Amino acid sequence: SSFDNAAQAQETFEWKMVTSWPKNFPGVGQGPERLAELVEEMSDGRLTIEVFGAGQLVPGFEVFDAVSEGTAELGHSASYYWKGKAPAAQFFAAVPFGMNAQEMNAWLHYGGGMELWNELYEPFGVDVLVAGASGVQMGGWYNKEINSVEDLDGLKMRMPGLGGEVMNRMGVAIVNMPGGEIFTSLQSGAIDATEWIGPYNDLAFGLHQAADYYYYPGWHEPTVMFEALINEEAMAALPADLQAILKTAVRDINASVLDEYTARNNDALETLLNEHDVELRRIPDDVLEQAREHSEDVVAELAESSELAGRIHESYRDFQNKVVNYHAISEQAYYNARNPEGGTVE
Amino acid sequence: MLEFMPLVLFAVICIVLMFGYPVALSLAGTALAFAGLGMGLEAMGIDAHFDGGYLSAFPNRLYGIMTNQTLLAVPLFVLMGVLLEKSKVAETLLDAMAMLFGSMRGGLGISVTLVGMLLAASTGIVGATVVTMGLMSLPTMLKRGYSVPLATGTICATGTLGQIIPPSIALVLLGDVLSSAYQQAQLSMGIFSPKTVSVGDLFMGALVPGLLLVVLYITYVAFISWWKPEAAPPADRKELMEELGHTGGLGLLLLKGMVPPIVLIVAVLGSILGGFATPTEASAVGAFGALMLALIYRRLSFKVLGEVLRSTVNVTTMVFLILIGAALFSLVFRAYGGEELVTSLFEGMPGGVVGATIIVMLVIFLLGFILDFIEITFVVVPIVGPILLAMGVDPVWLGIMIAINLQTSFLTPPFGFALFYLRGVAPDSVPTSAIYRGVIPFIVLQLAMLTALAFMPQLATWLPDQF
Amino acid sequence: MSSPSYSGELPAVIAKLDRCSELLGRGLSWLVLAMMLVQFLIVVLRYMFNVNSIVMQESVMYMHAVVFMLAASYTLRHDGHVRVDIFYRGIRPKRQALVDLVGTVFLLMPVMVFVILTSLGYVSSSWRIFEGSPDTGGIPGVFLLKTLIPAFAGLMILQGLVEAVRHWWILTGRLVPLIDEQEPHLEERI
Ligand code: NA
Ligand code: NA
Repeated sequence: SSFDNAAQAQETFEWKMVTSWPKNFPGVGQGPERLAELVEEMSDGRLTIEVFGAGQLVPGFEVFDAVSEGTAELGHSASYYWKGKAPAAQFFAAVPFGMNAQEMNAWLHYGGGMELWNELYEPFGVDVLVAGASGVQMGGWYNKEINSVEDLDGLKMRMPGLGGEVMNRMGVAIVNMPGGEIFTSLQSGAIDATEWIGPYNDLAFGLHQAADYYYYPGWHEPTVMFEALINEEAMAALPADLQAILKTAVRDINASVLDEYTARNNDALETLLNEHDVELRRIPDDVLEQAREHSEDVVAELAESSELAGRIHESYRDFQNKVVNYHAISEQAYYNARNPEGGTVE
Repeated sequence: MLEFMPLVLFAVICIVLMFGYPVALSLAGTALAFAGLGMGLEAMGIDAHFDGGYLSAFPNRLYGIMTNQTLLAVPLFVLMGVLLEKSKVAETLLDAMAMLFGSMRGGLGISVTLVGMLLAASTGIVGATVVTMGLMSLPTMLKRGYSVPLATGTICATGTLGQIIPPSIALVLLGDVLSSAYQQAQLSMGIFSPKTVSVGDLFMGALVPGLLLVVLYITYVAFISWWKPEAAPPADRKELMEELGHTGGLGLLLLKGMVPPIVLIVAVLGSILGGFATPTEASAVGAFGALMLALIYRRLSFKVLGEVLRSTVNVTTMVFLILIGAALFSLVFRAYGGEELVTSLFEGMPGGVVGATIIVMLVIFLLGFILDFIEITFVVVPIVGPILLAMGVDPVWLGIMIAINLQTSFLTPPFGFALFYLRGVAPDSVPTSAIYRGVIPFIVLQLAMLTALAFMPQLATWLPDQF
Repeated sequence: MSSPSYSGELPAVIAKLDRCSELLGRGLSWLVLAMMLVQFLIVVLRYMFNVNSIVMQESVMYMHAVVFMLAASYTLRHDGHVRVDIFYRGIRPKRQALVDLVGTVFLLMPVMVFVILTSLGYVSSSWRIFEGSPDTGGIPGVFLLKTLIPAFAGLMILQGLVEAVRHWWILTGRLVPLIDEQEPHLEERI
């Protein structure tokens, strides 16, 4: 009856959103804040979201469990953190020499990616929406020059995930360390190199004060896609209009996080180069070549981890092959036409 | 009234702790009782401002403590300390140092401060440094007739130096959060190519104030030994030689007693500062070195090794159970809206930048009684940092103020963490009241340093500005 | 820290539990040595041979977690958990036993039951998928690591039981704590 509808319209929901980033972390940390504002405004206060930085309610790497168990209704994170639960999750965050943000969004929304992603999280009682992207990252900060593959031998580097495994196969000693130790370890020489994110976050982290060379491109992370995790039961309990509002707001931050990165990275790179005299270097071709070969092996092995992983890999690979062909004559051809020298311009 | 529950919880915990049941379990148990009360009230339809959903985050937080790689250094630094103590290496070092300072009254106290500074620089974890220093030097100081408060005060104070003298894990965490807050503050002011503050800036900023504190401590010990000679008796060189059963020349003793452990400590410190290892790695190198020293000095039987390991386990579990208890407490505190309450109290106060800074410092000081550095860094600084930084406060200065402030808080009775840790390893014959009395002069020194820093921000900002 | 000494005997079952706890703690203490040696080896391998093993890195973390989670009850047995003992140290042994009995029943026990209740779902969902390492090439035993949480609480409950009985028997005079022959108080030196 209309009375029921009115009563339902009055019902309010107070949700918690746990994230894997420090509160207000530049870039990715802004996404959840914006989401909370948008949802509250669009729902006229019927759905409010309290955002928690990493460690405030649960540690950053406990976000998935917290949403799965219902401790928080929402989470904002990146799927490669959950490889211990489902190795195939890494396909939805970053794949070395894989698809960039524009291509990932196309695959996820129009190429069957989202369906596979939700199938992967279904046993955990978690719904997932894509909620932002970093764009192509930087290759990392180095205190040793990399002029050939041989220079990688015995290099001590912090690089998590699939990229780290690739580097490992190229003779790099991959080291794990907590975020708080990265800066000092790099500065002191305990490690020779680290990857981080892109100019905007790297500048904020101060890595230019601890390393000599800033290498590009970030082949290991052609983007990181961020994710909004939603507790399935909590979602089901929402009225249809609030569900729609939530999904729309997530779709908004999916775009806005990437937009912000694109804008801020430009300014930050300029600051790094002009004010801090950072030495920008391109990763040599033979290194990229070898990394590409090892990446294929690493990704193929990942595809064998389960039946579902195999299907995800197939869908991912097929889409990438198609989009590479099209982008060769569109994006890539245009980039080349716009800037034939390929370097940075004044 | 019910909105002040977080403050009531705080007060009740203070009372419960006084009964003397272990701190960790008192914190956790009382908090849990309050959680039950909150849920009961809510179930009865009374709005207690309590969100029981927070409680289910406890296993996640426990797992976070278990997998925190930064904390791996704790048992290893403790092991190093226990090894140096039980194999009498540290005692010999301090004796040798005391002999070097020979006729000087208070020479042992000064040696302890210097040794403590070396250790503090290498560990940077309050619990580990206080415990290590306590195990290493307290028995020696007491044996040499030092006043108990002077001995315990010196040890507690030097033990907390770890978070201010670089490299310091506390400063790394703080730098991480402050850089975000600084950027956020500038973004909120419409500055879109923001200036940055890094961990390296904080390290440099902390160097001058940290070393000044060491100078203040040493001056105080020297002053006391001049004013009250019986509190810090000189170690008579000849007597000491006989007592140690040492017959060779002084030079040989110094060579045997001082050089190896100093080489060890410098190696640990140097491996971090000089760029060879992270604190966790350095702690393992240090513990391994201590094991080798004990073996070389032929002071390590199988039985002694077993005792060393069991002591290490005792101290480590003590530190971690406190972390676990504090984790449950802080969940309940926040479930009652404690965080918002603190924020609103803070925002309601008048006084501009100076007033706001004083209030923030006071709040952080009080929170330091019950929360550890990491929790304050991640909970309080993100709330208050952007507000203060947007008012134009210098981020390096703010960071060092917070660090010294917390260091003072950890020293302040009855809830200073440093005091708990020292109490945990001090012999029963040392009365707790003596520990409390002993730190008071050092708290005064700390406050003097804070005041100086408040009026002369250059103490912190000058060095980083040179780069 | 020595084991507590008493004249009189605890009930057989309780005494047996107490001895098991002691053995467990002693056994675990050797993990500290192993942890140090492995971490030292990591340093040597990395800096002298430029070799790094994620498994070794993680194994140190595993040993560390096992020690402080499972030995917490051993430390309880040895009264090693630090107290604010401004008043406690001055009161008679029976009063101390009363504080400890009340604390055990109303502080320790509820907390540990709470830990078990809140962690069961968390741990069982980890077991269901045999959760592996979040790091490439890490130890595939996160489900075991998480199991330490209820295990910690379970051991604390068992030792809490022993302590409760011990304090009850002291209170009722069936067990008499032996006064330590210690060095004289250092009050006079203040
Ligand atoms: Na990255
Ligand atoms: Na330090």
